[in-house]
Amino acid sequence: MTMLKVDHIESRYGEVVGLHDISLEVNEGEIVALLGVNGAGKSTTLKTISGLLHPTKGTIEYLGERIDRLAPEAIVRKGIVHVPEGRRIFPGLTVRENLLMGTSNRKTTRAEVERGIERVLEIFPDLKRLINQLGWSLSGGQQQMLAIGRGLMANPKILMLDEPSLGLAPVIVKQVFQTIREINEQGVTVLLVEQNASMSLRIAHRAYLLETGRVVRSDTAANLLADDAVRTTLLTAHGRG
Amino acid sequence: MQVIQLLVTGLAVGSIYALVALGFVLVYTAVNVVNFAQGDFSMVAAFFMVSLVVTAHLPYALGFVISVILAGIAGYLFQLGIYQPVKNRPRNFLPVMIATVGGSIFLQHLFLILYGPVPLQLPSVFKQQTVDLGGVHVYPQYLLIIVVTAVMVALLNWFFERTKLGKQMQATAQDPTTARLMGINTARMNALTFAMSTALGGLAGILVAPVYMVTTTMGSLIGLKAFAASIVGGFSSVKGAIIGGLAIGIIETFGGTYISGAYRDAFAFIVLVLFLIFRPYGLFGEKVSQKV
Repeated sequence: MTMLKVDHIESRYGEVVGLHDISLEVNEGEIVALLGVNGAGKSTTLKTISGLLHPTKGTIEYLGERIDRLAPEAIVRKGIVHVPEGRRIFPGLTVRENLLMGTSNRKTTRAEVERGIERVLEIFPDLKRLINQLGWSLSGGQQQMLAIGRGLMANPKILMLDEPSLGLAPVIVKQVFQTIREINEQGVTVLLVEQNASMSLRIAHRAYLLETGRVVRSDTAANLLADDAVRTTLLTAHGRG
Repeated sequence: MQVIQLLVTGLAVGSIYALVALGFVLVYTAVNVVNFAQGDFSMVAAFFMVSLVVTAHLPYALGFVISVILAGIAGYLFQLGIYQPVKNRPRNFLPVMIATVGGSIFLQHLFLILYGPVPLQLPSVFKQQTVDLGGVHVYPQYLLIIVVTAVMVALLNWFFERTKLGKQMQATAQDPTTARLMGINTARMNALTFAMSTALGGLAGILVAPVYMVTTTMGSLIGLKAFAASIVGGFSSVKGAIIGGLAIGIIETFGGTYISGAYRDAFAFIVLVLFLIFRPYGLFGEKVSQKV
């Protein structure tokens, strides 16, 4: 079933066109990767879906309903949760409080919050001993786990992750991708933006290749991984192949 | 004995500055602007209090609560009419600041038209002039100021540390874009911040009104001294606002008694200038967000 349908959108930052023509679909239960080099429009696509930007052309539908004019706080209430690039942990709040903020998209009971936190700590046991530490004092890897955990607190139907592996040590990167797969297996649909194409294609079902604000190719992850042309343009371009 | 009397006076005056300084700090940390009309909400609430208690003969406590709430509503309207229209201007820090200065002038003249130029008096809730605390004679109003401020600070601390709403306000102040992505209505949080800060200022105005007279300019001096207190405290720290306020209150009370009564009001600004030269970030001015 198609959950999210992005149809020929154009997006601008003031006068600068960030996206020229992006169309994509995300089906229930999938991991879909958006791949491309810096400036291809991956993050801009996520920002447009989550409502931080409004498309100047085209439409975005979620379960058949137009959402491209809604504010971010209205979109996250529908279950489309955007974990932004750079992790964006609230520096002056503790780990627990950061997780609590993830539930701001709905009314919750205390018990519900506790259950959510428990679930996140099961996925990221390292966060347990940091639970009362302030956000700024965490390492990059810990912040990334917290950012994903905070996204999960929102009970996402679709979890959109922007560059979750950026700036992390290779061991941690592996862990993060492993976790994304686990989260997906628990029933959360994932839209993943990544520069690390090889790792992404290993966990994704399908992927879209973006170049200068356009979709240039879309295929199953297996096909893209097997394609030599894709390998050379994406995988070796930034030395992570 | 005199030292203790002066200390009580200093703490009471300092509590007033601390309450108003808290208002400065809350708004500053939330939206990164200084609300120069902050002090005027003390005046606004004091006039409401005179109308409700002296003119309309409402019970003191009821008038007190209504006046504080009205000051909060005034703050909400203030941000709606003054802050919201200019907040998205480029380099918004300057237009917003000038707009709040305009708002301050507007409020003072509005109340000049409404209440006239003659200073009004708000009686204290206490009948007797002084109370005897083991040989020390103090004004009961001063004790009330100190107690109410302490309770208010404890309440605020509970609100910001223990409630989800309090944490959402903090999250909004630290990173508004991410707060929106979490589903937090940041415009509502900012409106609430303004309302809370002006209610605190209003509380200060009502508490101090029986000590001074109620005039349309009473808020200016309170506001300026609270501004000095905020800078001494570091402007982004709640703890700093309280300690800064108390410090300024004590310094000016002792300075006014032992050094020069005529220069009583100058001491706050001498301290301000010294801090700006030697410690511009104040006592607690290290911003957490700058570490990231």
